Amino acid sequence: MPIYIEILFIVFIFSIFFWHPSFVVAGPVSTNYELNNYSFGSGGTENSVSNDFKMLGIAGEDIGESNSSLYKTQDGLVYTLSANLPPAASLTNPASYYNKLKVVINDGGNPNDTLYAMAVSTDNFASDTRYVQNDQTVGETLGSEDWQTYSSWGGADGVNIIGLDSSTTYYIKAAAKQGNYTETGFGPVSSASTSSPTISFDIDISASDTETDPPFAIDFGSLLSETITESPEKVWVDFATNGESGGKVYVYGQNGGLFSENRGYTITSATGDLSTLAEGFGAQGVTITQGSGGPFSVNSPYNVSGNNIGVTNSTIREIFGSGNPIGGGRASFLLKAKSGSTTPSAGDYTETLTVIASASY
Amino acid sequence: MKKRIAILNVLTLVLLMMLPLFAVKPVLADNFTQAYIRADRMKASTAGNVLVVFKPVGTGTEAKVKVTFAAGYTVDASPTVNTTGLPSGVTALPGTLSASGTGQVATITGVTDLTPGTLYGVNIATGITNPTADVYENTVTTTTAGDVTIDTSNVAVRVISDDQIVLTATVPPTFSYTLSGNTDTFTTDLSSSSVVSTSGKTVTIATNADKGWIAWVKSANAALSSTTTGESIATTGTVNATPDTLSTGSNGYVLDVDLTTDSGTGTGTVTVDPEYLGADTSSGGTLSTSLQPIGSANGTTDGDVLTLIARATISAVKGAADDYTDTLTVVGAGNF
Repeated sequence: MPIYIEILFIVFIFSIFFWHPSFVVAGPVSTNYELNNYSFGSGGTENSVSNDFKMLGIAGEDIGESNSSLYKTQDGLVYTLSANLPPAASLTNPASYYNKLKVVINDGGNPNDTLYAMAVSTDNFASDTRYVQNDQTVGETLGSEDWQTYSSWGGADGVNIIGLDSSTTYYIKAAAKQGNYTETGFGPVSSASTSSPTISFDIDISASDTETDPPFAIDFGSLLSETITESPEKVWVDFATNGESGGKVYVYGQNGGLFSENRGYTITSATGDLSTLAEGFGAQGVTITQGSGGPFSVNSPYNVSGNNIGVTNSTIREIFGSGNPIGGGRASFLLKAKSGSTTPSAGDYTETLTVIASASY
Repeated sequence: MKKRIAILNVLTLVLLMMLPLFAVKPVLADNFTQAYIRADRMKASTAGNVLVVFKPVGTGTEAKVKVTFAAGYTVDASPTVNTTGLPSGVTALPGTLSASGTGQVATITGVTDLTPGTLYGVNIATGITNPTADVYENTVTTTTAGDVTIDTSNVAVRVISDDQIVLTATVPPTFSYTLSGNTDTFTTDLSSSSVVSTSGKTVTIATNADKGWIAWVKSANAALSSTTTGESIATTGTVNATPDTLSTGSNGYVLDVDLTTDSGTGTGTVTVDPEYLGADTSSGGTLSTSLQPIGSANGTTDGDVLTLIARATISAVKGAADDYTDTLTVVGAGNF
C-alpha cells in the first residue's frame, strides 16, 4: 500500500476523533492556537480561549490531594471552583415501600442552579454502581439529562426512586456541579431498605363489627314467600396491602344462588331490586373504611342500597377495592334473599360463597 | 515494515477507543409495571385455579413466563394453563401455551413476544396447591427463550384457614285456597225442557308445593233435595272418569268443572279430572257423598282457577218447590 494512502487514512481517523466531542486526543489545532500538551503540572497555559476550545489553567499551580478513609483535602484552582460536595442524601422508606425509596438531596449550600446526580448500589458500590435517571428509575449510565437541580429532584420533599427490588438494601450518594470544571466527586453514602410486598386478609361473620373464626356459616332461616329477608349476619373483611396498585376483594358463588338439592331448584342470584323481582338472592355492600391510604371502596354491582342487590354467581367479581396501598381496610356486605309464591318449599336451600383477595404490585 | 506496524497500532487503538460506541449495554431486569396473583381459592392446602396478571416493561423477546411459588406450595409436574375467563381489561397471554413444573417453579412456554404496557393474564388452572395459612411471596418472571430475565416482580399472596361462607335457608310450604263464594243459585227455575246451570263459583289455588295440588268435592246428598216436597233430583250416572250428559225431561244433576286459569307462573300444569270435564252446558260429573277429585296440578302455581258449575234438569212431574238444595264441600291440598 502506498505510504500516502496510509497517511491519509490516519488523518481521516484522527479527524473523526476531533469531530467527536467525547474524544480528546493530542494535537487540536485552530486558526490561532494549537494545544501541544495536556499536562497540568507546573507551568501550563493560563485561560486560553479560541472559537473552538477553552482551557482553564493557571501557571505554576499544582493539584494535590490528601485523603484518609473519612476525609479528603484537595488543592489547586479546579477544586476551588468545584461545587460544594453534597452531604449524604436522605434515603428513607416512609411507608413500607417494596419497590421504591424516597430520597431527599442535601444541597450542601450550593446555589439553586447547581445540578446533582445520584449513584445507586445494592452492595455499597463494591461491584454494583448504577445511577438515578431523570425519570427516577435506576439505569446503567449517567447521562447529562440525569443531572438535575435540587428542585427538579423534588427539593425538600424529595422524590421516589422507583423500580427497586423488594427486601433489598440500597446505597446512594450524590455529586454536584455548577458549570464547567465544577463537578464534584460523589459524596458520602446513605442507605435504606425496601420492604417485602405485603397483603393481609381476613374474613369474619357477625351481625356487628367483630372478629370471628371459621368455619363461616350464615342461616337465613325461613324465606317467607314474597318477603325480602336479610342475612342475620354480615360478611366482614379485613384488608391491607402495600401493593403499589392497591388490591381487590372478590366474591363468587358456587351454585349461582340458593340451591335446593331436594327440589332441584335454585333461587337464582341476580342484580336488581328485590322489591320488583319475583325472587332472588344477592349481596349488598354495607360498610367500608380504611385506616390509611386507599380509599377502600365498594364496587359495582354491590354499591347499592335499599332492596337492591348484586349478583353472586360463578363469575369472580370485585366487591371491594383500592387502587392504592391501603392500611386497615375494613368492609362488610350483607346478603338478601326473596322467595316467590312459586318457589318450591324446601329446607335445604344453600349457597357457598367464596371471598378472596389479591394485591397488585 | 515499521510503518505498517505503526498503522496497525493506530488502527487497534482507534478500534479500542471506539469500542464503547458499539458495545451492547448489559440489560438489567425490570419490575413489571403491575403484577398480581389471584388464587381462586385462598384456603390452606387447597388446589385451585391461579390467575397470573402482569404488565411488562422490558423490550426483550419474551418466550416464557415463570411463576416461582414460595416454599410450601405444591407445584405439579404438569400444571395446565389457559386464558379463559380473564378479568375485563386483561389480555390473554399470547402463544401456544403449555406448562411444566419443576420444584417450586411453574414455567409457561410457547409465549410469543409481549408488548410493553399491555396487561397480560394467564390461568394456571390445575397443578398448584396452597400451603398452610400465612403470607407468601411468589415471583412472576418473563424470560427469553434462553432464560434471560426480562421483567420480574415479587408478589405477596395470602393463604387463610377458610375462604368460604356456607349459607342456608328454608322456604316454608305455602298453600292458598280460596272459594269465590259459599252459595250458588241456578240461574233460572229448573225445567223439564232445558238444562239449567248455576252461575258457578271459583276456587283459586296457589302453592309452592313442588308436586302441585289436588282439589276434591263431595255432595251432602248426591242430589238436590227439597224438604217441602220430600223429593230429590238425584245425581246422574256413576263416577267412572267420564262425564254424563243430562237429558231434558228426566231428572238429572251433575257438576261441571271448568279450567278458568292455568297460571303461567310456577311449574305446574292443571288437569281437570275427566269425570267432571263436561264437554258442553248439559254435561258434568257424577256427584258423590265421598270426596272425589275434581282437578289437580303437577307443580307450583301462583293462582290456578277452577270454576264449579252445577247443572240440573227435571221431569215434568217433579214436585214444585223452591227449596231444592245440595251442599258441596270443596277441599284442596298442596302436594309437597
